[in-house]
Order: sequence, then structure tokens, then C-alpha cells
Amino acid sequence: MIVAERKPLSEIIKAVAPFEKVLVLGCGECVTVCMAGGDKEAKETAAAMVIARSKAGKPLDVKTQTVERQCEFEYLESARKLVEEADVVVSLACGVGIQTMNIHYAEVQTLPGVNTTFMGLPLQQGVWVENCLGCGNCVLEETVGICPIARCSKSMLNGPCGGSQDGKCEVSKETECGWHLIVERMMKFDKLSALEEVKPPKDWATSHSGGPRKMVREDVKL
Amino acid sequence: MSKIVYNESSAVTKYPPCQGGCPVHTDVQEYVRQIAVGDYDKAVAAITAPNPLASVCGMICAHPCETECRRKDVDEAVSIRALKRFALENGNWPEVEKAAVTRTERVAVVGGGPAGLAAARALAEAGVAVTIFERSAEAGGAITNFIPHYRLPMDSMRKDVSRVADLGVEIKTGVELGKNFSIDALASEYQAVVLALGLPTSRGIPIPGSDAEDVLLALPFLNSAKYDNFSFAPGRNILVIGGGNVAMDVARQAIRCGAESVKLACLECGATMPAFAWEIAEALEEGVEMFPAWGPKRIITDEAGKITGMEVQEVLSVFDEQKRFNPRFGTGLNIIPVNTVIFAIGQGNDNLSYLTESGIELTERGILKYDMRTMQTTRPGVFACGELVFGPGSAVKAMSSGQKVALAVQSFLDNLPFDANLADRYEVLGMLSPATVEKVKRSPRLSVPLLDEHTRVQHNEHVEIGYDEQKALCESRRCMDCAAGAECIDEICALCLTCLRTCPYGVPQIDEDGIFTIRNEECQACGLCVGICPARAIRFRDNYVQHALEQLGDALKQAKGNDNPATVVFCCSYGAFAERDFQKYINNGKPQNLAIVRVPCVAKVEVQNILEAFALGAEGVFLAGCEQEEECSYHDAAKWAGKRAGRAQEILAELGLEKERIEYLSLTPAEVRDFAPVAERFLTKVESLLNGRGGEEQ
Repeated sequence: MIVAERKPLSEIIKAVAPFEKVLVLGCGECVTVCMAGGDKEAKETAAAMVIARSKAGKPLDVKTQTVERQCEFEYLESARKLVEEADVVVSLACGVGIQTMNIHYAEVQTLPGVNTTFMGLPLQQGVWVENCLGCGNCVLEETVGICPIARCSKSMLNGPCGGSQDGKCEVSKETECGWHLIVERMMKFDKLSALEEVKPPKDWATSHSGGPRKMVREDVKL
Repeated sequence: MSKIVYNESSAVTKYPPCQGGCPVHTDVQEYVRQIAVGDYDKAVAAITAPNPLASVCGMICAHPCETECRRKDVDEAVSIRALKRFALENGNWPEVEKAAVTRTERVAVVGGGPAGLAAARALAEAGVAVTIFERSAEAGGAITNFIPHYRLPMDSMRKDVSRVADLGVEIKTGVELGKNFSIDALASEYQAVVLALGLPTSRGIPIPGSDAEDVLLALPFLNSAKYDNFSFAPGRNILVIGGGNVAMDVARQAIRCGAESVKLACLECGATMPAFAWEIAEALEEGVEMFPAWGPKRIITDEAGKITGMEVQEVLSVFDEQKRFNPRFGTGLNIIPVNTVIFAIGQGNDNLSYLTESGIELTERGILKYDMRTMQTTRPGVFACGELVFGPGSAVKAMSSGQKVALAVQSFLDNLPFDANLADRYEVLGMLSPATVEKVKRSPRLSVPLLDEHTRVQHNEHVEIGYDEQKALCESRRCMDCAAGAECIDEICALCLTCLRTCPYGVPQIDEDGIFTIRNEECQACGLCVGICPARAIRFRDNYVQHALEQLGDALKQAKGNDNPATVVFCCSYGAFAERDFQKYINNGKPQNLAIVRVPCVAKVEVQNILEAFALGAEGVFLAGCEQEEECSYHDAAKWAGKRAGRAQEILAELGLEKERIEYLSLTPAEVRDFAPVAERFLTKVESLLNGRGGEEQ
């Protein structure tokens, strides 16, 4: 899923400073699951904005709503009334949802309330880790199910590098070396010899480096 | 008045086991919960709403609710009956308003026992003019006539009866059907008649010697002990025959009537004696010597006809394979040397042959012919209920029958069909799964204080002292709130599994087909999932938590109307926080600028609630939990309350406010009982923060 985290409140409050009526719009999917922008966060953010503005002597009218999925035009319709009443919308959805809002409600500005951070999983409750970069050409089959693109700080295809120490990445002692994990898992499946084959440089054209991507399925198009 | 037709589509209610087990379906959960938070008035309201003999039940109810309580699988059932008594003695009772008579028909109820009183109350509440005809000097039936003073003070019954009368029910006493009036006479004045005659006659056994002078029957004995100050002459050694509750009453009463010794013999072995275990235990404590599995063979008398003993025979079994009463005796014989025998082996109805003159048929054995579905006798418009038709049972079961007959009568008056089987359709929550049972905190049942056995046998005073406030508050927390807790709002749920990971009881689960569910029926209502669910997709089935949190707005409004900074305390509602003294502090003793919101466990306070307090104008928020890890029935409450406070502090800091304006503390009961200095310290801290003097601890 997409992982995000709420923006610093000071940033949000600064962004809505010119406005008097704000809608904080949560999303019921990924950002709910990663506890950044669901209904609970929407209500908390709204309350925080009210506190800040009342301390500043400039009361703010804040409403909240959460839609099923902000990245679908149809789901956004349920928020129409509150969107149209508001001077500005603060979306707690990922960047996709925020942009969907700006397309769907082109007359109203929708501002980001979260920073979209990565695609990942909750390793344990309250801890999310990145494990896919969406490079557009999956190599997990070659690396026994551990992504060298997402989990190696350098996205190396031939690892590990000399910065791998005791299973940790030189970038941070908190970060596991993806290639260390790959090697360990290869040993488990008796596939270490695969490392002898040197991989050619990755063609990044399939990733964002090839420009904004688009996918079309003629069989399901209307 | 709306007319109800009972048919196959009649509503089926789902009850927790306690409420399903209660024949009058008292909302046990509700009143136990209200006791736990110290709102005894609301507890009384919940108790008295369905129960016309609430006081009596507080003292002597057979409490099938406890028999069904799911807590018994964890440790022991909640002591519900004793909690009921506590509430009734400590809460204010709702005023009885005279019921408006909205129907032209009148109904006569013959018999003022539990069934008759319940029928009369239900009919009066439905707008029917009712008259009870009671042959004794006082209404109450078997309870008034036979239950000993040491188990039930008379005030209880009188209070209950007077409340039925206050409703507008006319109670005529000292008038007996078959002597002073007939069914025909009643039928000329009343459009329906309800017979609630009970089973007022003790049975004996026709064994040799049973006609001896000192052979007594249970009910006349109990009645004369209760009303005529009966006492035995010196040197009486008593043998009570019977193993039921009446036999225990007789044996214990006999001790109080001055018997030199009291023994008891019954067919059943110890484990299968029909009397309640606590009655047997209390009888043993008082010195009753028991001979279980010994059946009466003959009463031995001397030449003068005086009893010298009873020969008893060994019992091999009481019931046959078809579960019919069919005792088998062995060869063992024994003689129990006594000079008085009291039979307490069962009850029957009076001779009802006078009813046949009014077209009411009896069976060959003299028992009323009765239609279980319409609840009518063979004479249309003449109904029957209570022990008269279903046999010996508890008072509360008789009341249930009375309430049902009231519905039958109304259908009859409305000329509508009635089927008793369809009038009370309900399902009961199943058992708690063993996996959940494992995870529930153990908390032994608090025994109900009694007078000590040496003191209590000296007189007829009430044996049971009952719970004091601290004990009642503690015992009431043992209720597991079965199925009142978390349920998932599927439309909102993001299936994030946060609840599944957080719940200490394993209530949310993914089944073998991969489907996620919150098994509400397993929930222990700790509320941790509600507080952490990011989609706000979990709510409590009962709204008591929400209701508690909704008090914030009003409480804060009152706290804001003065010069001092408004400050909110979210505190636990249980334990010392539920005690009268703390509530007095809230109502009269607290500083005006302090808003106190009691929440059923502070772990149920969400970050959003804390922020809302600030958004509504509070300058500080104090979370006061209870430092009673052992008494608290929840897991990890302090941990989660602390985390919520921490998160709210972070947000406050982000807003440029001092995080010290939020504080979470676990308080000991002693600190709660002396809350003023605790509150004062925090108020002073908030004030110094506002004055820019920093948030250092003082």
C-alpha cells in the first residue's frame, strides 16, 4: 500500500492561513491503514487547526469528511456539498488523491495535508517500511523475493557493495542491507551461484525516469 | 393503545445470557454497569422497570441470571443478585405514577402472590382497571406467608406491593375465592379473570406413623414461625424430610424456633439436592445435620404415640432412565432418633373442586385444565398463571408468567388470538469461546457478607448484611459486558487489521476463508480497538462510552464562565472514581473552572477528545486513570492511556503550546478519595504555564 505521513501541523496551518472555511478530507484507503489520513486523523487535524487559529485570534470554520477512496472521481461526489461550502480543502490522501480532487473539483484548491512517502508494509503495528519503488520491471524472481531496487540504498543490481557491514547499510545503522538479505536468502535456496552472473545496467525507461507512466487496457475501456 | 398480534413473525430479541436467563428479562448488564460507575439511581430504574417485586428479588431471587452468567466459565458468575440489593438500597427509586385507565374493561386477579401482582401491574400499565383478590391479610403470596424473616425482611415485600397499589391496582385482602365469592360473581363484574392461586398446600407422605402428633408440614410451620412467634418446647429434636429450598428454610427456621437439634434427610445425594448450594452451605453452618440419600420408611412412635425416631432407607437412585421420579432403595436401613418430623417434600394446589361449579374443568387428579397457548382455563375469559399451572418454581418465574398472562388478557379483550409461545421470543448469546476465556483477567467473586452463624441463629433478623459501596463497585466491575462492546461498521472499515493486532482478547479475527470479522459476542468492551481504529469504524453496541464523552461540551461550558483557566479532567468512572464521595466532589467540591468528565476507562479517551477539549477552550487536560491494575478488568489500559496523552502532547507541541498542558497520571484509590490536592497541583501548573512561568513540576 501507499504510505504517507501527516505534514507538520505548522505547514498545514500556514497553508490555510488566508482561509476561513476549511474542509479536511480524509481517504478511507491506504492513508487510513497507515494512520496518516483516515477519519481519525482528519478529526485530529481539524481540532489542531481550530486550536491554533483560536490561539491566533482568527477563528477557523473546519469541517471534516472521509471518502472511500480519494483517487476515484465517483467517490469524491459524496463530498461535493462540503467541498463547495469550503474556501479550501486540505486533503489527507496520498498525492494521487490530492490530484484527483484538484481535477474533479477544479474550482476549489485542494492542498496536501500529508507527505506521500513510499509503497510499503507495516512490519509491525506502528512501523512501516518501504519495499517497492514501482520501477516498472520487477526483478524479484532473480533476487529471491527481496527487491534490490527498493531495499538497497543504491538500487544496485549487483550487490552488496562495500558499505554493507554486519547486515546494515552504510547509509544508516537502522537500515538493513537489502543485498545482505538477498545473499542470505539465496543461500537458503542454494542459489548463490546466480550471483556469478553480472547483471547489465537496469533500463530505467520503465520507471518514472521514462516520464509519467500511463496504462491502457482496451478490453475494459468503455 | 396499539394492539399487538403475536404470530410467527413476532420480533425475536437477542439477549446476553443474564437477561435471557432472567424470566422477566431484566437488563442486568445495564444496571450492573450503572452500579459500576456509581449511578445507583439509573441502576434502580433498570431493575424496577420490568420487575414488580424488585426489593424481594434483591433479597431472595433465585437469580437464574447468575446461573447463565458467562463469567462462570472464567472464574465465577457475577454476584448479580447481591448487586441488585445494593443498588436498590442505595439508589433513589423512580416515583410511581398512577397509571391512566384507558380501557373500559375490568380484570380481576385472584391471588396476590408474585404471579398475580405481576399480572396486575402489567395490566394496569396497559391501561386496564385491575382488582387483586387476596385471601391472606396481606398480599405477597408465598413470599409473604412463608419466606422466613431471616431471609427476607417484611419491609421489602411491603414496599413492592405498595408500588403496585400506587399504580392504581386495587388490592382486596382477606377475601377467598370459593368462600367469599365465586367465579360467576367475578365474571359478572369483570371482563376477564386471572387465577394466580399458587401452590399453597404442603404435601406429606403416607408412611407408617405420619399421622403422629408431632408430624408437621413445611408451610404451616413456616407461617406460624413467621407470624405467631412459634417456638418449640424444650428438648425437641427435629428431622426435616426434603432436600429443596423449602426444606432448608424449614431446617434453618427450626433452629431459630428453639429446636435442640435439627437434622435433614432427603432422597437425593449431596450433589443433586435441589436446594441452592448456598442455602445448603448456610444451613450446614447453622448446625443442620444432613442425611442425603436416605429416604423415609416409617416414623417410629412409642406406646403413647410419641415419635422416637424415623427409620430411613438407603436410596440408590431417585429418577429412572426416563428421568421420571421413581426412587430405588437399597437394603441399608438407619434410624434417626428424633421426636419431631417436618415434611418439606413439595407443594400442591388447594382443593379446587369449587371451580367446577363455574364451568372450569379439572383433571382427574384435581389439577386445572389449561391451554398453554392461550393461558386460559376451560372457561373462556378465565386465565391462569404462575405455579398453579407450571408447578413449583421461583418467584421471578411466576412473575414472568403473570406478565405473559397480562398480554393474553389484552389479546382476549381485543378479540385477537394469543399464543404464549410467540409472546416472548428471544435468542441468547452463546458461550464465550475457550480461547477468549483464557485471556480474560481472573477476578474472584466477592462473597456477600453475612451475619456470623453463631449470631444469626439467635434470632430471626436478616442474615445477609450485603455489599458495602466499595465491594459493590468492585464486584460490578466483574461483568464482562457480553456483546455490548465493539462492533465493526463494515461500510467504513478499511480492513487495516489494527484492531486485530491491538485487541488483548483476540476478538477480531480472520477466519479460514480469509474473511475479517470482529466477533462482538467475544468482546470484553475494553475499548482499545475503538481508540486506535484509524477509520473510526468500530463502535460500541451500547452507547455508554459515547454518552460519557459527550459530557465534555457541557462540562467545559460551565468551567469556562469564570476568571480562572478552564481545565478538563478526563477520569476513569470505576472504582474510587465511582464512589459517592468523588461524585460529591464533582458536584459540589471542585473548583468552578475544572470540568470533570468521567469515562468508563481513560484508555477510551481518544487523542481527538483531548484536542477537542482545547478546541473548546480548555487550557489544560488531565487524564486521571486508576492505579488498580489488579482490580481493573482491562488489559494495558494505563499503557494506552499514556500513549494517547503522549500523542496529544506532540500535537500540542507542534502547535507551539506547552506539552505540559496535558498530563496523564494513574491515581491510587487514596489519591482519588482526596482528589482536591491533585486537581489543585495541575490547575496551578496550567496557570503558571499561561503566565509564562514554564511547566516545571511542582
